[in-house]
Amino acid sequence: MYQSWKAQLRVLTALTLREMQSQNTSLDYGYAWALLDVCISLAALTLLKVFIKALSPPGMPPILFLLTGMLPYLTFQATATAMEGAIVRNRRLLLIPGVTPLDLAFAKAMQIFCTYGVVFVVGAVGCSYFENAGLPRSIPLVIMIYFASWLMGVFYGLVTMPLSRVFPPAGKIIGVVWRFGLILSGVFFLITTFPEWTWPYLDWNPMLHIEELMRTYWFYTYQTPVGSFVYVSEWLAGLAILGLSVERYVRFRIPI
Amino acid sequence: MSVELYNITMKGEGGGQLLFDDLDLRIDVGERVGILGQSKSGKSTLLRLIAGVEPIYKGFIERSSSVSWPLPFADYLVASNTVATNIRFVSRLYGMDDDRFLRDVAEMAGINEFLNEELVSCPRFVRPQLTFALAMTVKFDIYLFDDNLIAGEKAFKDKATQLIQAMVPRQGFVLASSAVKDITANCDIFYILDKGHVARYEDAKDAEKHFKSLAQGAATEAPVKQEPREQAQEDYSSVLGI
Repeated sequence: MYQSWKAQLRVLTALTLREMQSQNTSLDYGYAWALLDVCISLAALTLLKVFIKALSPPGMPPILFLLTGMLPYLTFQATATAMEGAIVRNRRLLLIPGVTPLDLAFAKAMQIFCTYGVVFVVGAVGCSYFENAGLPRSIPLVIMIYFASWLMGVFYGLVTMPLSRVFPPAGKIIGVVWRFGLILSGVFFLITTFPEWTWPYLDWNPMLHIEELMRTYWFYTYQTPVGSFVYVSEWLAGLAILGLSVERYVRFRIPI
Repeated sequence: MSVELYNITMKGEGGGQLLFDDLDLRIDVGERVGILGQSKSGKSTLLRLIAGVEPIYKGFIERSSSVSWPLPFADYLVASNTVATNIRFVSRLYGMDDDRFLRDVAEMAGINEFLNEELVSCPRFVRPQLTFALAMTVKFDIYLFDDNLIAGEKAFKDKATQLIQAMVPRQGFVLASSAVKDITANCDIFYILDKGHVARYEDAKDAEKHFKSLAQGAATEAPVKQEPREQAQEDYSSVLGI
């Protein structure tokens, strides 16, 4: 059992590194472009924030506030949407004994975690220095909730992967949902910005809980009125069971 | 140590023609096995089944030895990466010592001067020689060859042929092809694949005779089937050589 896990981990590591090394290889400084890609997305969303003239809550440095909202959401979104593509793009690798579709999907997810994680760390240090902000309230909890946003993307991706296989336009539809999700998940706002009567309609969204908890764990001046780690954990467990079951069901039934 | 296929039933692409009909097959380590079949008879699919990379819908496979991917499959190589990066990928995949593996592969393939070149800009012979050397350096128990044993420059072919012949009885190989000469020259055990069944021969002349009769559409011999066993399981860990 231990040997099998070890072998699977080895395969996953090899595939993740290959995924990183294959990023933008036609360009000089290949992998750096993947990092720049994330930075450009961040800059675009920051401009959007300026455009809608939303104000950062008091006591929270504006850029850091945006960074702590956008990185978890972008990590979630990128992970959830990239997994199916990774399997289709690398399906020839499935001819190597021991490499499974799940390995390819997880390797892509790992690559995204590393890329966005690096941008998050560098961005957070830079913003904190630039805006003269202190350390987060709890670094371990920040790491944990960021990891949860990535896991949410992994399990959500597992659920939606077969959808795109059976019904290719599903990807486009999901893309539209993401745009609403960006607003509804509290990337640009805290839930306290909205009237209290709207909270029960908004707080079903697990990503809103993640965003709220991230701000609570980062800033001393904010305590979320709705964010619950238990609720996030329940979603993670539910999506994990559903995602893995769906993947197992379609594995031999729907060709890649 | 072997790979055993039991009662494999499978349809071809699109679910039309029956590719394998209750097929049983056993490959032991140390054997030089040739699978002769006409075009579209399912030779490549059979190799993928032996490798454990083809989904099984009916039947089962018992695997107690490590098996290579079907050679000369090379699509896992990234053309825009350097030769060394591609070698290191396989090294990590199979948990080999990175530097030693790199050195051994480069030496066996005779491509030392191209290690830091992008694969796409290397001469044409580099890719088949690299693919062969990668698989050989991993040291599988059974190697699978689809269509031919070795491609590349003549000097390399001679070296590789010696290597393949020398690996028996510690290791073995399966060569699937429709070229009778290649099979009879390199193998000791022969399977004729036709209409979803295999017929086993240990004499090259008998196999050749049967295959030629198939080609003329006058096959008369009944396929020889092996007795199935009761217990079996998929074991990917053995495929990964652990």
